[in-house]
Amino acid sequence: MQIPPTSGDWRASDLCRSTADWPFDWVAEITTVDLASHSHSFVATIRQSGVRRFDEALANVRAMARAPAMLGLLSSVAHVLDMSDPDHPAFVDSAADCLDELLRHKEALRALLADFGTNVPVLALAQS
Amino acid sequence: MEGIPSSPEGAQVALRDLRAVAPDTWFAAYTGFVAEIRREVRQDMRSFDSIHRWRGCAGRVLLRNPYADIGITTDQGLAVVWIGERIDRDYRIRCEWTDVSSAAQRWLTDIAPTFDAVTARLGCTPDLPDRAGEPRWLEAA
Repeated sequence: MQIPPTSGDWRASDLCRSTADWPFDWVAEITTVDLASHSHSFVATIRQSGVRRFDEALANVRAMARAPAMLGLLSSVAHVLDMSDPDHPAFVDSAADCLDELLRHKEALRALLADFGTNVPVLALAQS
Repeated sequence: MEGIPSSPEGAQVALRDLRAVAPDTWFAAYTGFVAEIRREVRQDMRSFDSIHRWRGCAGRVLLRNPYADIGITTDQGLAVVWIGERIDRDYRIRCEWTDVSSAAQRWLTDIAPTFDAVTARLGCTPDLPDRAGEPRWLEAA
């Protein structure tokens, strides 16, 4: 059985230097706020080489913190693919239903792209 | 103890019930409570400095002095504020050179009433109000 990532809304801390002087690493922390269990807990410390540019290291941390959300969206898209597959038990013989299901996740997808500063239209991304 | 978040072994604890807080304001209430703990503790226990560390996944250390950590653990809407002997690397190294642990334990015993007073001011109780009447031996059963 596949184990899902730690539940809750993952949040990344600020990106900090591990030491004041060189050589240092970029360090950030991921914690999760689980509103189902009303809890705040620690997930991981991310340590990256200080050679990496600050903004690149920051983008890496953001990408890691959004991993569960990305996984959720991928699962949703895979579900739509199943709905459009005649050989799959989830098949629905309606393109409109498939499109409706896909559009249900439009806001979440746009929010995710906005987090990365990728404000390009979803369609353009799919074609590239 | 069903429903009560775990705290470090041997720690003195106090509970604050955050279950009534709406989910969309829970994190704001929690961060407000954390700030309150830091402010109130430093008023009466001046040897503590604010710090941010984790003990395991759930125990968030908020304040530290040469002997002890004060932290918070949350689960199922309950917040446990605890004070316990330090376990971090620097402290363990000190313990290898001198008997810091005995002194820390004595200090923790002495400071217990002060911690009780501070947590009471923070609206914490030693136990949940709806469990206060329960005999303690039931917990072990």
